[in-house]
Amino acid sequence: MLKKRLLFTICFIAFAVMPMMAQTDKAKEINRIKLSSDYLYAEATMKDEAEALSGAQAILEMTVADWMAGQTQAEKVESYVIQAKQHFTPIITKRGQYCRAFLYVKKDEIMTIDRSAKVVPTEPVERPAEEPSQQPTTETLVVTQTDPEVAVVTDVEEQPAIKSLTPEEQRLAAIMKFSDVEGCVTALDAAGKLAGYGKKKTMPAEGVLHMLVFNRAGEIPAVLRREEDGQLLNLRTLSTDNVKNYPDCGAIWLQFK
Amino acid sequence: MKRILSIFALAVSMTAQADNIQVQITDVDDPNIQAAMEATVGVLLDEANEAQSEGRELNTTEMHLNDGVSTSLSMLWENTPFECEDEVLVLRALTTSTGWQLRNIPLMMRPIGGNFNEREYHEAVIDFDRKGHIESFHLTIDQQLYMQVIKSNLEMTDLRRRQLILDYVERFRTAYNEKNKHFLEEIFSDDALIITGKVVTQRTKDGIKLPDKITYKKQGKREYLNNLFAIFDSKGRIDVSFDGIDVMRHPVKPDFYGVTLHQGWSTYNKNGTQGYRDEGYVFLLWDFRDEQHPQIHVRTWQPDAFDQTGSGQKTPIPKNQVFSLADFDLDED
Repeated sequence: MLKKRLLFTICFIAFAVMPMMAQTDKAKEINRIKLSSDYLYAEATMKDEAEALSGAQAILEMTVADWMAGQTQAEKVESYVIQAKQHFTPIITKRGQYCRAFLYVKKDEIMTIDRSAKVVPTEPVERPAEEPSQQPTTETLVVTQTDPEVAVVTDVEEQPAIKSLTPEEQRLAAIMKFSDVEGCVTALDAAGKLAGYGKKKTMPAEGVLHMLVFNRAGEIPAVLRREEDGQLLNLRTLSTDNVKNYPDCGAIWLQFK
Repeated sequence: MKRILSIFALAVSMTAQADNIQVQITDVDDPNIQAAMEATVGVLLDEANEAQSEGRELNTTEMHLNDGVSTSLSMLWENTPFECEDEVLVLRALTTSTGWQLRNIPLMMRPIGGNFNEREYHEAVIDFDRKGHIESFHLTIDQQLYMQVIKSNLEMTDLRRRQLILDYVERFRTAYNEKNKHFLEEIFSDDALIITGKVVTQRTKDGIKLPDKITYKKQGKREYLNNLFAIFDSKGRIDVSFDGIDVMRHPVKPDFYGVTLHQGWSTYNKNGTQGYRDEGYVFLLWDFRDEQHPQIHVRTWQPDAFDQTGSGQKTPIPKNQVFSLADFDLDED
């Protein structure tokens, strides 16, 4: 009887102590990673585990982006972040009632993405003998004659105005929210496409330019092109427009080179 | 029985929390300064844990903190004593223009007389000067709001800038709670525009309720702060809380940000009775051209709900009537 009680007590203590020891081991592992210069990491503590993981992931993505900005060209950073996400490893522990999500990635694993992309085979890749026969050298074009009396309505008809604009104008015309203006303007400027931009007060009095009209709700109700003669063309409707149609609105102007 | 008790005691001792928190700081070039910073943080957190367990005031006398930091800690302790439950803290020091910054210091806040709630866990940020002395100690904004902004789609804004914005929003909130006149004098630009909305209740001569009207009053920095400081002096406690946040970067001026907050404001009289209360939207136009000394150029306040139909029922203010970055024009320098 005493032996049974002893065994029961030991098992009971073990089940109570082991989880605590496991938590301690995880905390030690987290600290080991933090002390090492081989990793990038982030953590978040929230009541909900999913929220904590989501927060840690957002922070680690930005941490990776910041680190990669110092390692490679700006335009490649995003692709590194996307690939690095596949190597994110979580460690979940508790902090009282809260869940702590610690996420890490090895720097070497991120840089491996670049090395593998740069590998160029020094010998021509041998194509299997069967391949050429699988690829027809000619294509048969099947033409179905449509009934000329039937009008085919497609989405293309709804956007003829957009399609006749330059690619940059199409991009401007697609902006619907004030919060998206910054990204577009910055990207165009970084690409060297702009001669200038600013708010309405600084708009040049003459010359061709574009205007992103915004209202108090943060919406972009119109994107206009001012022609040489001062006429305004609405880039979405391809019809003439007037600023009087947008009372109580501001505007950001851009001038392309 | 004795054997059982001894086994139990051994098991408990294996997992018992250490008396002192071990602090390890990385990324500080000077090992002496690194050691000093580790010791300072360790002593501070150990004192917090002891004061918490003994139910006494926080004693920072031996830590040789500057007056500002001591005051901040005292006021924080007065409302929400805290403790650190981690046995080992590994913190990466971020280099700033004046020294270093330690972030993500995990604290469990124990509101006096309060129950455990969503706001219990907080993280602290400590700034150090180049000699390793603490320059400031403050909490980050509520974790829910923090994550909301961190995860939001603020293009071209790095993590550091987002954290900086959130840090200053929280310090701004704390300044009201601490009645920190010096901070508020510094944070508002001299040409700051302050707009305050007021709900005006309207009735006909027959007593029929009409829709409420919101009137707006403009003030300059001096007038606003004089009125605010008068409230500070006459009231016992000020309690400002934020439970909603939206951050927008100016599309043309990248160092300017519009921050819209849903704010709860409460004052308590010196005898402890509750004074005035309201809830509304606060919009702040922040200028981060000098990151060490950001400034607020515009502060607006408007109620979050009012009687829009004359029915006597308050309904939320339409979103397009809430002040935002698009409402303000920035002058060229």
